[in-house]
Amino acid sequence: MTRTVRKHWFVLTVSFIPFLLLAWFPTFVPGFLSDLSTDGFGLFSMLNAGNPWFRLFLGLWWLLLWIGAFNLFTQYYLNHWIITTLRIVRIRQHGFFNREVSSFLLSRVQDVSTTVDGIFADLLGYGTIRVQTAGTASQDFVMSGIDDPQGMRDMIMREIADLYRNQSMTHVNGVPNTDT
Amino acid sequence: MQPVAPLTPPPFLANVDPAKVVSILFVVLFIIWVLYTLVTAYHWVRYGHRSSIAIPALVTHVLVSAFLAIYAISGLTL
Repeated sequence: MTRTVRKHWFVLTVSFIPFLLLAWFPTFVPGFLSDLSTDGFGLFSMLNAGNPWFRLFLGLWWLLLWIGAFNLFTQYYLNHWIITTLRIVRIRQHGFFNREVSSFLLSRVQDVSTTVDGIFADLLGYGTIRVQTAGTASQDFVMSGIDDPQGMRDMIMREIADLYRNQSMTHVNGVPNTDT
Repeated sequence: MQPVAPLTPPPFLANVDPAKVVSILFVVLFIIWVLYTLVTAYHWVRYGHRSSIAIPALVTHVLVSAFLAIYAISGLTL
């Protein structure tokens, strides 16, 4: 069984909010300033969608923001964990042409802990998972804002239990059992 | 109170054709957009793990970009 895990949709939606505010900003500010004083800010009343130069600016500004937002979605999609019956693969896309892929065996997992912090996280069911591995180069693998961290922790622990159960059936005192 | 003098552009701007400026701006932005789109498409196709989302995402990116670019120039009569 293989499962791919990404950040929760709410985390992605929240990260889009600055882009929406920046998109709305140039449509709001000129009207607001011209309403304050028609004498001092008469120029601002010209800054509306009927003015072709303002429309040019607005279109290009929105295009720039769209590129930023799409880039964010690309990062969201390419950053993920893949959990298989044998290992966990963590893929992190730091930027374009900057990719980090880490993989560790489930048998090396020492501890799996989850944190759900905040009202939205609790209601919508997202949080942080931390997988600690054993060995000489022990490492913590952390992913924040993932969907259903408890379910993922249970799944990892279940896979580890299955792994050890299968190992105990095929090995006796560390020696392969030829009877099975 | 002194009367306000009409705003006159500096001499080096007097001969600048706005149509040319907009055209150059658009070509530069278009080149940047094409480069970005190619790099993004490469990442989606190569690292998207044969995802069914990759192609619809790229098509959406191109369509929305085209719509915004058309909106930007829709008021201009060059």
